[in-house]
Amino acid sequence: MLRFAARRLLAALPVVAAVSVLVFLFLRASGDPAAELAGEDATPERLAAIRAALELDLPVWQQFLAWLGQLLHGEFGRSLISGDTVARMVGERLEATLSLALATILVSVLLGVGLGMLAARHRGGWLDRAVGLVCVGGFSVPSFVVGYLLVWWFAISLGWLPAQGYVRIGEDALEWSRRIALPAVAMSTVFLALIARITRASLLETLDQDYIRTARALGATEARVFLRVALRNAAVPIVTIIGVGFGVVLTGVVVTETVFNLPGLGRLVVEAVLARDYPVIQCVVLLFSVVYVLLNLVVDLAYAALDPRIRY
Amino acid sequence: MIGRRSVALGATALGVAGATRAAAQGRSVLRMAKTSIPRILDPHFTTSFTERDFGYLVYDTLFAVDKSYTPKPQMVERWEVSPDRLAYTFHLRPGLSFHDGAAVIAADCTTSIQRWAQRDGMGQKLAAVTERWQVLDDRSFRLVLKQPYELVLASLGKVGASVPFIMPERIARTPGTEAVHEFVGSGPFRYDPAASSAGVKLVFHRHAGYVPRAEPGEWASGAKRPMVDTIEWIEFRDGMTAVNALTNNEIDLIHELPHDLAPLVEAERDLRVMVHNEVGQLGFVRFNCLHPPFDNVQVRRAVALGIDQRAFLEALVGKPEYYQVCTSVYSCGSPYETQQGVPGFNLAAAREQLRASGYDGKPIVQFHATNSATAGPIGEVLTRALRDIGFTVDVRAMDWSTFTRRRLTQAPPPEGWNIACSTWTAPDVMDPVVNATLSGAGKQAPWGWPSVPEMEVLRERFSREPDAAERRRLAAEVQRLAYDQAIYMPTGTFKALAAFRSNVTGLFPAPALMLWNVGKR
Amino acid sequence: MTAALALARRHGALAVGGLLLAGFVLLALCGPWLGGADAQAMLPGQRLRAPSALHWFGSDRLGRDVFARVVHGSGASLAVGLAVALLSGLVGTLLGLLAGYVRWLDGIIMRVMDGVMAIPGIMVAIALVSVLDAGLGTVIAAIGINDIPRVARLVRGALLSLREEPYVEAATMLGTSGAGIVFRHMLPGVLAPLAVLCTHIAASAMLLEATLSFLGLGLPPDIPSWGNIMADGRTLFRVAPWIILFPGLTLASAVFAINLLGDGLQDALEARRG
Repeated sequence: MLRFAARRLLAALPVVAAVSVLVFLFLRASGDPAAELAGEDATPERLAAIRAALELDLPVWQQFLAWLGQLLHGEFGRSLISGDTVARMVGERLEATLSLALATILVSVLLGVGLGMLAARHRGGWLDRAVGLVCVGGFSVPSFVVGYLLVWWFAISLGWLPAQGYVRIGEDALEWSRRIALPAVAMSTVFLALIARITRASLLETLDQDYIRTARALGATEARVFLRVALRNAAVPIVTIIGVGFGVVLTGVVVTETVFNLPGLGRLVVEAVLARDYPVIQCVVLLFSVVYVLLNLVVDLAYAALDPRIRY
Repeated sequence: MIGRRSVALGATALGVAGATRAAAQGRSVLRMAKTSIPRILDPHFTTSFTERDFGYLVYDTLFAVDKSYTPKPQMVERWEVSPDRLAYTFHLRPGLSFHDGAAVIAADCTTSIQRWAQRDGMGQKLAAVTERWQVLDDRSFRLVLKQPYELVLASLGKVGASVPFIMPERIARTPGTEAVHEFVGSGPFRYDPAASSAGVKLVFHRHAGYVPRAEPGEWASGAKRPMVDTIEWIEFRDGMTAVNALTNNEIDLIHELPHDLAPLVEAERDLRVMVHNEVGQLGFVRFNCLHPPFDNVQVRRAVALGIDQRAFLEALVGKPEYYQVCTSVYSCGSPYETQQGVPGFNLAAAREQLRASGYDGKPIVQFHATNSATAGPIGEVLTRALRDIGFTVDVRAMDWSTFTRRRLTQAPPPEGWNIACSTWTAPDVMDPVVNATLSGAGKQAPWGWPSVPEMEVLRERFSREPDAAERRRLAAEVQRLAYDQAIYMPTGTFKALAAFRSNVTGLFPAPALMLWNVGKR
Repeated sequence: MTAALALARRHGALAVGGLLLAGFVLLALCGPWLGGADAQAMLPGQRLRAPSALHWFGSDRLGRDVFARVVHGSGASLAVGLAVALLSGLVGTLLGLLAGYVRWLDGIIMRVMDGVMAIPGIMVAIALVSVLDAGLGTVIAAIGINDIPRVARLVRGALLSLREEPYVEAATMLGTSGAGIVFRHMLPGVLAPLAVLCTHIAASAMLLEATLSFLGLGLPPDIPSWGNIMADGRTLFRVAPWIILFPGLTLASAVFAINLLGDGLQDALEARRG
């Protein structure tokens, strides 16, 4: 298992490296932030001066080497716009995004596995169809529409929850959960549907297996068999969703953080791309691709742990 | 230097006393929402409106204009002008101190003004006629001019970005092409970088050592009293979310509330709306004068005739209380406001003018910024207006950052552009010199590059003219020429709103975000 | 025809989804006639009007008729879904076939696919849109690139398992050319799951277009789409909910139809196999 992990990580290294280089070249080709910094009445001289000050006038390969050099010293550089260290900017935003992602997974796993079990138990019946419809519906509505509806209902009409914003869990855990609740629910619509489907499918597949038939034939009650199978199988969709859902999480995070005004990485990255704040984008992309590689490794290992038939 | 240190000690003592008092009373925090918060922060480095607003909280100015754009002394106690009008001597008020405790001395002022002058258009004009800045003693300094220049006080008190804010000398020595990263001012509020988070919120505390003027406050002039202990400036990209937060008592104030959301605020018993920035924001259409068809003044005139400000404002704002048809290139409320040379809307005449101009029907390229809350909708109405006049329009949509970059390219379309729009605020255009869009300097002018040499002569004469009545005449002449040559077209003024909870007191009309004298019950 | 009816009776989802989708395609094709009024016409003094006999879906903040825009917008929205599914389906299949059949290319192609998947799709899309002019082509490319790896993986995976099938081995032994084996014998085996995946890609592409519009990076206002109509009215949700509601409902039902079609297709295929 350890050898497998090491091999996978080594194989993933070129991916991360390639992604960084590609993003670097692509972005630098797309223009720089000098014009926006120079303002409404910018002159060519002013532009050139700003480029020189930010070292954007160097050849791209020199800029790349400089960045690489920084990276090897464990530094991510400074934002071209604010001058803050990228490490601080990303660090400040990490908690909100992580909270949102974890809360979303929690909500969607709880509801999704429940719905999936329900559908599988009543296979072919009207409950199964209803769950199916809910799932397709969850896939079909843009998440910002769900977000606006939730805020309007729970924060404005009922006044139960705050409409926006974030409070660090270390500051006030209760307030943290109140702030994260609505965004997590808004984001979980897609996942919920996904998890419910996977749960249903994997349950049905397992229920058809020989050993289950044997158990039934040996007189185990239907309910007992079902619960056993269901519980053992619940882990699989959770793991799958974490693997598959990474990209979807990030798309959702960008929108949800805007709707609920959460200070997270999604907003940071959109702003950075739009402002061509290279050091920030490069750092975040690097972070994302490393997380992606690690996540996939963990998912594969988890599969092996959950399903003894898989061996690496 | 001894003087400086003793003041510093006094200020520190005051600071401690102030903090203790506030703690005893319970700290008052004003939570303010705005579409964006500044990221660069250095108000000399950029002409961005958010940095100007940040600057007004943190820094102070030598002079400041009241609402008639008359420069009033602010940090300056008194000043003298030599009879030949070539030397201005300024004396600072006593007791001025920076947030780090140091007293404000003359060298801070001369260095800051010279740094500001590297970037700002008005500053560059001032620098061009400046012989030298001379420190006389800790509290007095002198400006010696090469030639008479009548916009000295107007420049030092200018309220449009970038504003000549005063920083400590050690920071102001940074070249103007490099942004500074330490923000120490002598304004009513102290910036707290440790409590702030880039792109999320900025935190300011009362500058306990601030000595306000005795005169009543108006715009940036007169008394600027910090009335709350702490200001939190929070970014709300989404106006709807900000209104929700205000309704739920999660924030106290929204600066620049989108007009369409005003009814929601009005419907709540404990919320208020006011027209905060009456002189407002001005949309404008810019032509690329380097390439056909807009290198031909006849074609530009067709557009000038076909622009109906009312249509733009009605489409963008809707409610007449919140907008103003304003055809003066100096904005309405400026001392130079005039109706000289205004073409007047006439669609039939515009079509006829276009036919007569020899426009060949080739598509014109309009650059359009999709994610700008102001320039975006203006562009959409412009497209419509251009098609009504008879143009074939090719709309190139892009994000704001790309727009600011690509509009600077002087290459012909499709790489470059033919027509585009953007916005100013009123103080940015209040006279012929500060209004950079009036430049006729050809390729040296801002994007659009109109070449009208006569314009530069007129603007130069304006800046040297000591007589106020003659200056107004020259300004009218500049506007006549601007419209005759159709250098650019204003699309009307929309006023900015503020929404706040009823326990917020003292919010006053201002051309920028000004939060002194604003308290919380 | 009878066969189709029988199929429809057996697979309700397939029939309902297909019918709904056909309706939307019809709407898109006839849009310019059905919508009547000019989708760009700005009626002075008619801003933010609630739905009425004059404006069935109300009017937006520039006084444009939302119904006309929704009808005219169906073309662009469906085009995005269709084109993204086609683009990623074709390119992904080609890459998947190459990777699955040409052994030495396998490593290279799949590493590149991993690389593309490692960058969040929304970032690729934002970066592309901000580099190129915002237009139909840009949005399609920006969204399509993200889905290529999904298709490539599916095709390659299926191919690897098919390679072991006796009939493919037989064909190889009989001396059929490489390309012949791939296209005549292996591709048909992949087509069914590919069709299902493509419906899901089309559905999510339409949603992603709305998301890009939400960020101000979607189609230019010149080309109305359900996404950018909603994005235009997004901050007015509590003032003029109709600007979001009607295109939102339309988008949701179109996506719903495509998803239903995909699910039905999957069920039908499973039933045939089982």
